[in-house]
Amino acid sequence: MGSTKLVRDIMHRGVITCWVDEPLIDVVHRLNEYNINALFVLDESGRAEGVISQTDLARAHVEGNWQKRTAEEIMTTDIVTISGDIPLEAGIQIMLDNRIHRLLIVQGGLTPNRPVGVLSLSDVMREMAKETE
Amino acid sequence: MTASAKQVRDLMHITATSCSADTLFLEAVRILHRNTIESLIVLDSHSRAIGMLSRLEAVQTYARSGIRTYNFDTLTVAEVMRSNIPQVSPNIPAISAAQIMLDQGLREIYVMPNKDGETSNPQPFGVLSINKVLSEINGVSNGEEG
Repeated sequence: MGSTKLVRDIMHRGVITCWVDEPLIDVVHRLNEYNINALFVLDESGRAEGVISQTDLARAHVEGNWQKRTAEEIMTTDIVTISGDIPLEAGIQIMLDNRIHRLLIVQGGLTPNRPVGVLSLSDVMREMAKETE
Repeated sequence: MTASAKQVRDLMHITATSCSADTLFLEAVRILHRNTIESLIVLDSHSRAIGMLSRLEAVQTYARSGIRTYNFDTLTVAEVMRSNIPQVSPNIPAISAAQIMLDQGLREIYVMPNKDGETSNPQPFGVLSINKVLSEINGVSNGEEG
């Protein structure tokens, strides 16, 4: 992997989100609408508070009564956020160390933790495939 | 038939993408990416399933290349694959398979023939993803990427 590349060089920009109090049924529809595996959950100030993946939704279904629940009830709250300005290799290592499939890229400023992009395993695979062609 | 009554065989994807054990690692990366799949099943020269390589393991191998002296020109899948293949029978409820995937932290699981004492390491019938079970539950079509 190109050692000079930064996370922001291969991350995908724009983050699909939902609100903490949004019904899960709407979350499901959004995941399907955008054809994605996970979305990030924002509080009323736009700060990322958690992530909901297809796996979280499957778990909610197994637990039952999922249609009456909201995003914050099932979201994973220990999201890992990084800056897009760190080396790509460091970003990948953070992903692997935490055994997660995606990292939220945030920028500081007036709204700390404001999401600006996502680095997913799919982004890394795309880059690996590109480099080996 | 309701979604919760369906069995694994009703929802599995009937093709499990495979490669041979001597496939170059970098070629396996290309296959994983091109087909947007979570993992590859690895077959020996007798077409028996002997392991799997997931996207996560592929990225781990690539990340380790900085500290290990991998020669990617010759590195084969057999050298980096995992030999324990997560698997379920086709004849159990899909929701039970989903529970197994959740318990083991898997996004997909291989559907293998029941062990009959004669065929060891057979090829999988197919693969079941957590997304497929979920989309069936929700009654909508769903994607695999993201």
